[in-house]
Amino acid sequence: MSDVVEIPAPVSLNFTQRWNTYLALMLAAAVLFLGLTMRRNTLSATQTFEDLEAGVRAQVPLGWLIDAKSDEYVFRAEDPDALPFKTMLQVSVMTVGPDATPNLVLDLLNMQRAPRFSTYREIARFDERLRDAPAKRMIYAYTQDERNPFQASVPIVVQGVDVVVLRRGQAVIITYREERSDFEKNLGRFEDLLATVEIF
Amino acid sequence: MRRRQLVLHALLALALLSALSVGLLSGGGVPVAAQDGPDATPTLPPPPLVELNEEIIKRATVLVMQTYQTRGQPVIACTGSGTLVSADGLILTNAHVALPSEMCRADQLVIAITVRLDEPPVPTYTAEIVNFSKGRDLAVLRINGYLDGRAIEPGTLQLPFVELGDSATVQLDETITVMGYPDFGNAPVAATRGTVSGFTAEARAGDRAWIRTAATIPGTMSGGGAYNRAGKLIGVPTIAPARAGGELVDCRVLQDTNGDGRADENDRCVPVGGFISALRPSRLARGLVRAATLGIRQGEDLTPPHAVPTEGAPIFSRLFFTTRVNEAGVPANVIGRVPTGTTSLYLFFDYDNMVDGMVYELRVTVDDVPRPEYGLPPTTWSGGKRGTWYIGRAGLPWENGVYHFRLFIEGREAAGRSIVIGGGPPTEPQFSDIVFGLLDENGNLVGTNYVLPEGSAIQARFNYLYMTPETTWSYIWYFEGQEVLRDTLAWAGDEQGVWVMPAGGDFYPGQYRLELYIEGTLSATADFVIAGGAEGYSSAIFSDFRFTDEQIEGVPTGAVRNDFPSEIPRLYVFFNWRLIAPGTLWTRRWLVDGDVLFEVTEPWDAESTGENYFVGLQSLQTLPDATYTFEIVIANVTQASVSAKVGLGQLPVEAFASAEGVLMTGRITDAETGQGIPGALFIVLQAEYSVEDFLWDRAQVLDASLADSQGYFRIARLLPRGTREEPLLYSVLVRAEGYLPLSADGIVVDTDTRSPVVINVALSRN
Repeated sequence: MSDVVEIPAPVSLNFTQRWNTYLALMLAAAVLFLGLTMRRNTLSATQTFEDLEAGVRAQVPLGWLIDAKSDEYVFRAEDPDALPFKTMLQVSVMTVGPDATPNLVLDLLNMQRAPRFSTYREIARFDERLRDAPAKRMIYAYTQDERNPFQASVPIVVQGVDVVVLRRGQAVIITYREERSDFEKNLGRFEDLLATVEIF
Repeated sequence: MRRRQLVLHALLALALLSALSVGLLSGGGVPVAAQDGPDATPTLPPPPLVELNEEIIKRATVLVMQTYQTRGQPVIACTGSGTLVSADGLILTNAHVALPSEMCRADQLVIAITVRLDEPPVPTYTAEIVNFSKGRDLAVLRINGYLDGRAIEPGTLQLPFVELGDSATVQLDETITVMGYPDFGNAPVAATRGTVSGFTAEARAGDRAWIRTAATIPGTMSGGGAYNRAGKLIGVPTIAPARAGGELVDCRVLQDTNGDGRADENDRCVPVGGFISALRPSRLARGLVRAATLGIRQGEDLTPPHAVPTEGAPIFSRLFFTTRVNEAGVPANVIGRVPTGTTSLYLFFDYDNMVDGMVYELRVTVDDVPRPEYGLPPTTWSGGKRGTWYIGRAGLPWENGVYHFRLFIEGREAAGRSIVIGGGPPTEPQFSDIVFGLLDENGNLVGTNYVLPEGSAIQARFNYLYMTPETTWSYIWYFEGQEVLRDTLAWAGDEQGVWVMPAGGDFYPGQYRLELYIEGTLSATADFVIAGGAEGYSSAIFSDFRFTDEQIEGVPTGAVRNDFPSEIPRLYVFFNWRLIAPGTLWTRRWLVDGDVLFEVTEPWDAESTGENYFVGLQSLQTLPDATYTFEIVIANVTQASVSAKVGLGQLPVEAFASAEGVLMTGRITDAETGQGIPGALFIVLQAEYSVEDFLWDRAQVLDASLADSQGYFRIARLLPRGTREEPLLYSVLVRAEGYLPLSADGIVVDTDTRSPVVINVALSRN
């Protein structure tokens, strides 16, 4: 016959066990924070776009599709993931006369776009300064439809904003376009671009 | 308790992995590895016709509607078919389908396209006429806007299109496919298959002026396309335009055009033709299409393009038959009977007071049975006001019988003539093959053609056969249609040989004709032109050619040169001329890198001798770099050919886009729900880049497409093919917010790849 020794169940964790648990929880929280930070950094990561001929340098979101081959703009960056409209940032340059004003440039943009964009309409216009230079901001909207007629796409209401600043016989136009419902959400991208764009 | 600890630690580890996963996988700019999962693998399409890509051809076929506004409402006046011949919206169709007329009042051209193959076309664009030939009933249109009035952004149209094939290679009994709309837009685009049943000859267009087919082609398909097995456009199905007072097969009331609240016989109807049996060969459209593609048009000339006003009723006269037409378009003989087994027969006739665009027709009966294959269905006139014309058929046997040919103008019978085919070879006396020339110092006839210098001793040479002594023969010389000399003689030569006869009298500039009769029956005839001064044994009519890029009121003001810098907007050629009679038919041609872009035949309308006649080319922007050649032809003899280089002197390699390639299409869906993901982006990289090489630079992208409301995407640009030995490998990426990105390398496109390549992709949520 053998002896049975009963070990009483511990009433509470001992010191080591308790701190092990605390450390594990803290580590998990730290790693979660690290992961989220990495995600945020990745999402807001930028790359430098530079066009020495046009005299434009800017930070554009990393991973966006960059088109710098058009005569119409210096560059255009589009978010490939965005649904249903591809969020767009653009910098373009227009040659203007010595008496031109940002207001006149916006008028010209309106005249160019009205026959090209369906239901194009200017919504508002404001004065502002960009790098201490007088600038003009215009908000507008239009409906965009798929240019491929063989696809059954529903038109999208797009809201856009232009900031125009003049320099040495040229007007630099910085543009942001987004689907109406996401316009405010992603406006920060545009403000980041305005904050980093260098015109030289 | 220990188990609780283990579970807790496992959860923490999972949280760690999850956090890292979130950070890595949602990185918008991090290229992902290729995932060749089952959903990303290209799925094989059902086997289509390998050579003839019907889907692309059907999508390239459009409905052209002539419309006008009445009381603010659009009214459809006429409809027809057309074919896209460039990605940026050039459309080849019949001129009568696009040009307004008495029956087709119109102020706007609306283009409806086939969005879904099994449904009627959808009005989408407006178009304008760029080039047209009323006589040949061909026109090129350009899509210039959306139906809502918006302009089209340059470079944004990427429409499916077809290439023009070589209609000269079309063979008898070859299978062709005709595409067009069989109704007013109520039915989807239709394909009709048939075979080539023959060719019809017509003056100025040669033995293959028309391709004939026995396929049943509704009149509304006029202006569409006929394709060979390789899917190349080889002809335009053409029916005569509807005309007021003409023979309308049908005219349908579609709308209340007079606003009386009812759509009845008091409203304007849309005319419908009968059935099409003739195709205009694509070679006759090539110049129009190329000129439109290059943005070139005929510019200012010394005299504006003119339609000579008619002074009387149009007439056809002096009908006769020949079995041979020489290279100058002159009948080799005149026959009254054709032996069994003949394979060519042409009906010649003179015409006057005709206008390009009039409708004429040749009806033929054999032993009183109508035989449309020997005739010409109602078609537009292209010969100008006055001259000599022919219709015929070569290369196919003509059966024995009594043939009766009847010519019609605007539905009214104008002239007729009969001929018998049958019996053995003719043995009766005959003349043939008249040519004209000058005698050299040795008495040889030289400079033989149909254009001769003024003031020379003209000789006529002809062949004779089966002649017997004392046979009565006669000749008649005409000048500008008036008889000037006639004589009747007894034959004093051999049975067969070559005869040279001098022409009496002085020859002034103008058009001449010689008729030879045997026993009072016309046996041979030929026309010739006297123009220019003698230069050796030839005529020198045009001289001192000068190219320039500027002129003011007929005087060259720019630099005169043969080598111009790039990007000039206009090009003129000036020249002097002498001794050419007003009314003499002359042809001027513009060629670009050897291809004829414009060819105009018309009567000479300036004084007989003068300086600084000029013709021009112009562009809406700038003339492309190329070698521009200007030619003048009279009586099928080239009188002058001069060239000037612009820029590099040759067209850019990519001047004419290829319609060869593979269509890529498919659907992007949510892997869980199977629903399409609207707005998802499908990117195809240029073949030289893999996913790993992709730096999100647009220059690396061949094309991209957004998924539509059902998740379907369609790459507008065709993927160029590689070869079997060196296939092209494409990489694709699929992106959508909230889903894990997908990419794949190594999609093979070579000569064996069937179009379309369908790629269905299911994305997993992240």
